[in-house]
Amino acid sequence: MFLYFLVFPVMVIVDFTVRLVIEIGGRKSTQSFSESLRKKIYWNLPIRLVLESYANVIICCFIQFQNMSTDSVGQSIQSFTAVSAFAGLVLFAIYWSYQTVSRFSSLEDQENVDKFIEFYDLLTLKKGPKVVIYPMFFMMRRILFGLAIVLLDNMICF
Amino acid sequence: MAKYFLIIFAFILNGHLEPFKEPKHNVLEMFNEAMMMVVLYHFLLFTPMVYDPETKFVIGYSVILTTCTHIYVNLHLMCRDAYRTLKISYMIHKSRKAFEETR
Repeated sequence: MFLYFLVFPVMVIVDFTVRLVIEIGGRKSTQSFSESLRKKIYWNLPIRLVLESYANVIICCFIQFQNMSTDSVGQSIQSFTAVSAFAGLVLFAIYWSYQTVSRFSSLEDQENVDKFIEFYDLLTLKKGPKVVIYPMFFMMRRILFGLAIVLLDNMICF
Repeated sequence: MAKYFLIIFAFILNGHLEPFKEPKHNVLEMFNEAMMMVVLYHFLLFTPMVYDPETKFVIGYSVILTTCTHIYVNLHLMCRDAYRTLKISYMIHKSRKAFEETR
């Protein structure tokens, strides 16, 4: 989870540094590198990062939910991180699904492809906005999977 | 049980929506769900429904076989795709080189 929160700020710092170098030096190769980097950072890289780590982070959050406490500073930070990460992931699913549906007619525009393709990559857009159910379900099933394996461990009986 | 229902729902959703651009991805997704379902059905047999420990031991081999098949098929498809991409890019590179030499 630490890496999860670390990668994006590191990339933003790299982007800031590269832009600073361009302002000082102004080389063409650096400019094209910065442009390609910006395409990845805003927002393809964070979207892919969240989608790939979704299950892991959700399971970590649910494990922490079992031991929620604010006895010490460390435990408080862990609890707060778990709650915020969980809320963030749920909001991420809702927000991006809403965004994809609301921008559906312009999803194939170059501007949207450069920024958000990772969310609907490989999906066929010919079938209409109902295709967005698939990434939504992708995230929902991970939440339910985490819930099932962590919180319902002793409750399921056949 | 939640996992069973999720997989059945995913199976229905995949079959109904066919959400991927390429048909092979849809088929692969269905295959993955099917294999997961088979493995989960095996897990039913590890519950007190089957009493004999030796039978459970044998069922374990079946689970391993199913999992290995699942991994093998996915790895095979990945390697095949990577090999084809490499082959095509090599052929493009070769033909480009030949074209430049003839100019």
